[in-house]
Amino acid sequence: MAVKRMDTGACPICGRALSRFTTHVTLKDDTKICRDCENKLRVKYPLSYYIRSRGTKRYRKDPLQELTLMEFLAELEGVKEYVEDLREKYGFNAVYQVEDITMEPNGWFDPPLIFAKGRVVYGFFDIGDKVRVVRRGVGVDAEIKGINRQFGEEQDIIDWEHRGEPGYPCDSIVFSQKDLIVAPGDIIVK
Amino acid sequence: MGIFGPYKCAYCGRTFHGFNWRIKNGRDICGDCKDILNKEMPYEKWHKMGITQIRAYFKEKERLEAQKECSLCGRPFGAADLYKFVLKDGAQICYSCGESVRIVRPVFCTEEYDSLKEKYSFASDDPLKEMTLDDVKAAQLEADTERRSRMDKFGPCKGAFIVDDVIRVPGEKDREVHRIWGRCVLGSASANSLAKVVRREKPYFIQIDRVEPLEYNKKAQVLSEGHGGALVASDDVSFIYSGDVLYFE
Repeated sequence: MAVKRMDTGACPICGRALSRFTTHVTLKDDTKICRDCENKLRVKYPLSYYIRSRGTKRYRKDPLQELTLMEFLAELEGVKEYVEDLREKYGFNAVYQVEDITMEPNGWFDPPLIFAKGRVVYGFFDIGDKVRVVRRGVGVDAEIKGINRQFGEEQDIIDWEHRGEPGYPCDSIVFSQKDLIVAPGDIIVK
Repeated sequence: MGIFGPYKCAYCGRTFHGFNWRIKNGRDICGDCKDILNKEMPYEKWHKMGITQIRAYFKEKERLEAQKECSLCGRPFGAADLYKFVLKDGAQICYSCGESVRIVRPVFCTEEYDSLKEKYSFASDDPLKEMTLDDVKAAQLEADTERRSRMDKFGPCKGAFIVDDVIRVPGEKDREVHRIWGRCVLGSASANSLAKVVRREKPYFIQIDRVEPLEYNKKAQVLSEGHGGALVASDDVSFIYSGDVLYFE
């Protein structure tokens, strides 16, 4: 048949289509849920990748797969309070925790590229966002030049035009700004 | 018979000369009938139909146009109706009656892929097409109960919108413009209005500039309950997260 439907059923939580284009989380009781419902709980159950010893292939670890549908629904009720606790703790709308820094030259006249590796704690980050790099309560204004994301089991980053979302491993946020210093332990906030 | 006829039109029955248009089974259609068919549907569709199918199409259209009132509320169909819904048993209901059950029977949006044309296109399943008039009446009662329970949950408000994602609109470098994707779960969300997000420390307000619905009339500036779409705002929206509820008052 020439025309094919590109969904594999409906999400049991919101009733919307499960698209073939995205990888869906399969919960412990074999229920598949849609990306939108999954994203709501990612801030509390982040994805991670690990490499086994003497290997180069990355394996995905998804804590959401340990939940049943009823447990998922119960967690969904409480995730708003979880985010409010984080907001109270940090005092900002969005926070990115910097874990490591690498730098690359960026031509003769432009400031070097700073790759701030880490993870999004909560909130969203987009290219072009005006943020503050905060260290011990003191902040410096900066603009995000690029965002690298880790995808699937491939180690190579495909390109650096992505978003920083909570719960999804973010390889790095990229800055290119004169006199900007970013160090491990800093937080990037909005 | 020469290149320019004479041909006999399969639809109107008159004999004509000149250019002819072929439909299924090698039957010919005259220019006037071709113009009528082109107004109804694209050529790629009607030239594959047989004459019986074409006659059945126009008969059904005549039957639908003959009904001037909604089968449910009795209100005459007017210019205010976006369009009418035709149910499984042939009954027609107005836009308002159809929309009143969307809270429990939302449109199922998906995509289709045509391997011959190598093209993806938007597709939707409207549950109203599989419902009879009695099913719609039962769904209206169900919708009233669901609406009441949601009003208890969200409180008195003009509209409640659940956020799925917040994405920066590309290309707008000097301004902070974002699309807030989600679904309207109660009431309606309209353009040029103020939306409120309740946080622990205080409520936050955002000005919604325009609305981009996923289904139906994409130019409409209102998102009604049961429908998904995006709200476009040029304010700071960094305090909005997936799962938040935007209240319209």
